[in-house]
Amino acid sequence: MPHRVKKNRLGRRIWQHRVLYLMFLPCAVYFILFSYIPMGGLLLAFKNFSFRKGILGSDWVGLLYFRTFFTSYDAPRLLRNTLTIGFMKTVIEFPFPIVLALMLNELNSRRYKQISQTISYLPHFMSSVIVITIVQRILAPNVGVINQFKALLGGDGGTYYLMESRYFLPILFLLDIWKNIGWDSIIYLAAISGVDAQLYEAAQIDGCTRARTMWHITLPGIRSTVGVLFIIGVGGLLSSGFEQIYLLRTPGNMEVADTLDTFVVRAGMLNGQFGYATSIGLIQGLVGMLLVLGANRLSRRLTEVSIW
Amino acid sequence: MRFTRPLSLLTALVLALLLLQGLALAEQKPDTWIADRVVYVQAYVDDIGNSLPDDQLNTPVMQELKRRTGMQIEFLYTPGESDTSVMMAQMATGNLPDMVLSYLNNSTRPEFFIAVTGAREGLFADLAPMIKDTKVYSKYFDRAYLPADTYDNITWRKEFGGAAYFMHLSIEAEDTSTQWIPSQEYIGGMYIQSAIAKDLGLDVKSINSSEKLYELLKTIKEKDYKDVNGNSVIPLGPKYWGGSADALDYVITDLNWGISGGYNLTEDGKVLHEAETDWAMKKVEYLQKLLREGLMHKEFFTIDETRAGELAANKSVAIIADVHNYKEIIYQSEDWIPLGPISDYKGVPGKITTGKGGYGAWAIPAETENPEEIVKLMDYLSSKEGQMLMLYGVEGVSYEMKDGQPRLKEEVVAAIENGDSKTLQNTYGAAFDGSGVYGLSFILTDTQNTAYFGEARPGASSGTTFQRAVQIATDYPQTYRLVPGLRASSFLTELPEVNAKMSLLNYNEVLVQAVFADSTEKAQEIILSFRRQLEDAGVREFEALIERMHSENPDLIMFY
Repeated sequence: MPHRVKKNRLGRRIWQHRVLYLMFLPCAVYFILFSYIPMGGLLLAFKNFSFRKGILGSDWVGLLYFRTFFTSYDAPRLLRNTLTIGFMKTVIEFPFPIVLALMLNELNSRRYKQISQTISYLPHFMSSVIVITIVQRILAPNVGVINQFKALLGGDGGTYYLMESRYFLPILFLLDIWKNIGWDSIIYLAAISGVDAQLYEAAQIDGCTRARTMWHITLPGIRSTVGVLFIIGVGGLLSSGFEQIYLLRTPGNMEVADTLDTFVVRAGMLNGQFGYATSIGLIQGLVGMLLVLGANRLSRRLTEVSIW
Repeated sequence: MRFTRPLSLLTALVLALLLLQGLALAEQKPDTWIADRVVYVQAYVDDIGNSLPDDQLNTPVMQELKRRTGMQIEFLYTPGESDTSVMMAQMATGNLPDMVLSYLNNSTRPEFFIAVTGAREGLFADLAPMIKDTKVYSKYFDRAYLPADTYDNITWRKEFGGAAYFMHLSIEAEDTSTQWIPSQEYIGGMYIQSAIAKDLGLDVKSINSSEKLYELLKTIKEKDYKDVNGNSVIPLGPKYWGGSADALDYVITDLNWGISGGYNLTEDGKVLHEAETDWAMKKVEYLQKLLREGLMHKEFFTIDETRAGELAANKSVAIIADVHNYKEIIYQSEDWIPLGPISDYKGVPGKITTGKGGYGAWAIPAETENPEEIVKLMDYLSSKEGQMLMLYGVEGVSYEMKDGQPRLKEEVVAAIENGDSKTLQNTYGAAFDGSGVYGLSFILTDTQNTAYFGEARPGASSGTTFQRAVQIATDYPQTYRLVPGLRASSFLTELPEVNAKMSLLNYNEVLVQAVFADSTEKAQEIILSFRRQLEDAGVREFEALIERMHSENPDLIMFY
């Protein structure tokens, strides 16, 4: 009987908030269809995929693909490149949207703020293919804007930036910041708008400068948002992203631009080694999950901010 | 009751009339009738996907095909993805239509490796019993009719024990592979601005080695020619279709030791990959020299197609590394002429041919109902009448018969010359010279245009479009060298584990990486690292296999 009562209560509660549940439904369906059901495909990491037998019917091969990968000549280079790019995107780029959000928050002119925000969001909506094509033209030897400017100042206008591995990471860093900084700052702006206005008034009465207000009120006010996003972001340490890197790769920068993500596409989609590619994807997923768990635990212990 | 009898009589009369009409209709079906059916063909060929009529089943050609055979063809194509990826995804999900069609010039193509895996697992129907009584495809049983690669590795693979899952396409009825026939020749490779060649008094055929090419590039640089915008001309430009290391095949042919998919035989009979020899660094050092001295475009390997086209159109490069006589930029003016060709690494001239070849392949998924109807249709299409319909369209609509030969109407020739592909595809619906519905020429075999239709391709005898292309082939003839056998790399599939690792390595990419290295030491390091990758992937095992196969049958693998 108590169970029945509880069930009824749950049913009543769902019915009471039916509109909210209805809004939640597409989201749940999306994640079930595109995130949970495909997880079944991870079985491929342990199977010799057969077109005829399908995922479930294919023969088991145990940990063969994992052994092959970790003993391969490519593994250290791929892991090193992936970690470097992952660290750059997850850790080094992390403060930039926060700084932009803080700066936008300090703008007095509403119109100027709106224009700045819109301009900073725009790159996020541009296809990587278009962006990289523009970058290729800007950086082209002799005819690119940068090289022409260098030549104008008497320098060597023939530098082929995309073919030299030392320029790859700076280019990727600037490109990624430019593309995502505006979009990523939205969530921080939303968090800032949630900080109690009375705190700012009190700070003003106490004679706080704008910098001190930002340091002592705004930043602590969005601390939990920053913490949560960082914990989630850490999960991507072993994922360098695909599109930008794939498009920016040239034989000249391959030494630093070949990552696990590009390798997965090469092995899986272009060479049909589904099992091998899945096993690498699984390693990335597992490491990402462990990193999120670790970061969450550490954050809870040190800052009392955590996802759960 | 009074009306019962007359009513019965009337009913019987009507039924009899209907029956007679039905019989008459049945009699109207031509001998070529096969079945009332639309065949859905998945094409893994982007040229087909980009040249389809708006309404495929309602073109004059498809209507006529339906009248003759009852059958029609609708091509399916997935744009925006690589054909290999689409093929793999469809095979993995079992989402295959009535028939599949793929590009396939020889059995070493990566997509064929995927298709063979599918065949091993029973994804495709065995076509051998179905082609037995056909007019055209029954010729495929004859070893002498098919190219060796087609017979041994595509259609009649030993591992399938007499079953045939893939039908190779575009097999010539007669082997003309060693004959230089100007009206049919594609001259690919380097082309130089004719004005520059004239100014230098250059005999273009005399440039037959990379060293002579280097001297020529230096002279061009010293002369400081200007392009249409007044900028200095770069001596050696990239491939017309965009940067690629493939163009090196024409530029440094004499430094290309690994002629058999990267492998070759040493003087003492050992099989090695080129990266394991000094030839790799010879290539790297030569290309570094060209780059260092500003003789070669810096984006030779990476430039996108649009900008590569601009370089040629603006005459910003003196030499295009790779283009052919059937590209507009070549045949629409007299501005460019062939340069070279460079001889092979032994200094021997001649265009290598492995003999008769094919161009595409088709297969029928095992789940397809009544596959024999599709086989009959494919056989009909490759008959003389079928080929005429596919290539020339419908008589009276796109061509007229003159002296027993089909000749395209003036308006069709004009559409071809103006590049009006949409009209060719929608109004007439035939393949013509490839500028119409390209897929319809792709699905033919036993081709013999000159014997059947008196011209190398539709419109060739009446159109003026390709006169210059043919003239180039006439003025710059080459000789063919027949070297039988397949590239060594095509046998990688014999060692699946080695192949799985090897297929992830890209020698050309490594070469380019070495070319752009800061120093010779760094370049050597890159090549050494690639050697270690080869060893890790199992190159020794593979080389031993090739040595053994070559000693058993010297014609099996292409070495020279």
